[in-house]
Amino acid sequence: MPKIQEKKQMNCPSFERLVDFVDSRLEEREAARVEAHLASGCGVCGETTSWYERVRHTVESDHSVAPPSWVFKRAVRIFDAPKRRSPGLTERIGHAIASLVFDSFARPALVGVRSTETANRQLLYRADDYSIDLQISGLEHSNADVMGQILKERGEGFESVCGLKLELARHDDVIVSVVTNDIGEFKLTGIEQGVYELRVALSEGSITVPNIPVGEP
Amino acid sequence: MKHIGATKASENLNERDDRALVVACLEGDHAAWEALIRRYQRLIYSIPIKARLSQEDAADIFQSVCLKLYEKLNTIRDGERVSSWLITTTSRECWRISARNRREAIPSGSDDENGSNFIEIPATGLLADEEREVLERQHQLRHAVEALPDRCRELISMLFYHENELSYVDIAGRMKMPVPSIGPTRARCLEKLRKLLAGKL
Repeated sequence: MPKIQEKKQMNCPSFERLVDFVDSRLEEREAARVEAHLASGCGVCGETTSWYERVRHTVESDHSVAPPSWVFKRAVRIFDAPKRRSPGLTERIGHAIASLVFDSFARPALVGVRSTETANRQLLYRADDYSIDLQISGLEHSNADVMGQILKERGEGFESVCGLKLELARHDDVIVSVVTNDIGEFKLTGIEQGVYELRVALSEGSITVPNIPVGEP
Repeated sequence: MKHIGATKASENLNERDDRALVVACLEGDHAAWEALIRRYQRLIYSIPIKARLSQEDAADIFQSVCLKLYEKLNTIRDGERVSSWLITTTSRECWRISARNRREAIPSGSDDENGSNFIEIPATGLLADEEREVLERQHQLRHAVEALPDRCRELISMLFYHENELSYVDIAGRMKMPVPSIGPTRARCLEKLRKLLAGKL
């Protein structure tokens, strides 16, 4: 077994040659020369080729994907909450009307860019410290599903958004009522095409999300 | 192309380590928060996708994990590695969403999970140690590539992360440099990458 050499030798191939060897970019004769050098037990060059092989292997096994831009932007907005004191139990927000801050259908499509997003529409509303994120599915037999999540920007955990009562109303008629789950999520299924409002009952008051377009352009 | 990119403004943030970004976030630096999410976006989003959850579920998990990260910044600063914390938290969220999907797929009152209406939903558990290590290595390499100087980042990204393998002629054309310069430039960039990784891979 050849003795392993720990220091770079005069006849060591250059770093470029070694990575070319791993990438099979060398001519046959040059590749044989590098192979013979490595077989002679040069620890320095062996370490370099091992490192580059690990890099190549890591690259080849990396099938990671970046999230759609709206998902990334939504997460960035978590930080946008105003740095103000959360209201105490006695500080009521009263009745707040949520305003629309993001509509995925309002974005211009980039020419030549293939979208990874589905036909779902995403709407983000904000009222006081609360944000209401809605995902409206495409119409199927004139019905759509509305999924959403309520988040309190400066809340501790999800305590302030779990178990909230929600009412989806149209022309003052309550169509359906649901309660948010343990992380503020909710789902309304089989909603007919139309424009609705969502009423959220909070411990500090209530929020109305107006003009929610279900299946509307 | 699996894009790796950084604007001039974000270069400085890319060079900061996780701890420095977390500290900046706690001081109210919005750009640091964006850099932190950008740094880990692939790691977080790929876990539910790898677990065969839907894009909608993956989007929900991404938001939920980022919210938890925001709420836990103070404790993460004190020691735990961000990547490790994110992998654990994301895989737990995958498990929770997967369990919810399975519950919703079973008709209420039904005790026959093998019935004709049963829909197969992936059961996602926590990641095995080996899978965690692979994810961390992939993240470390991408992060090191992002921290390279502009030209090197562009070249190495084309060599490593382009969807189709590019020839030196293609790369030379895109980078507006002579073909014979590609090999030596690549070698210099890889040496810089090796220094940046500092034995992490």
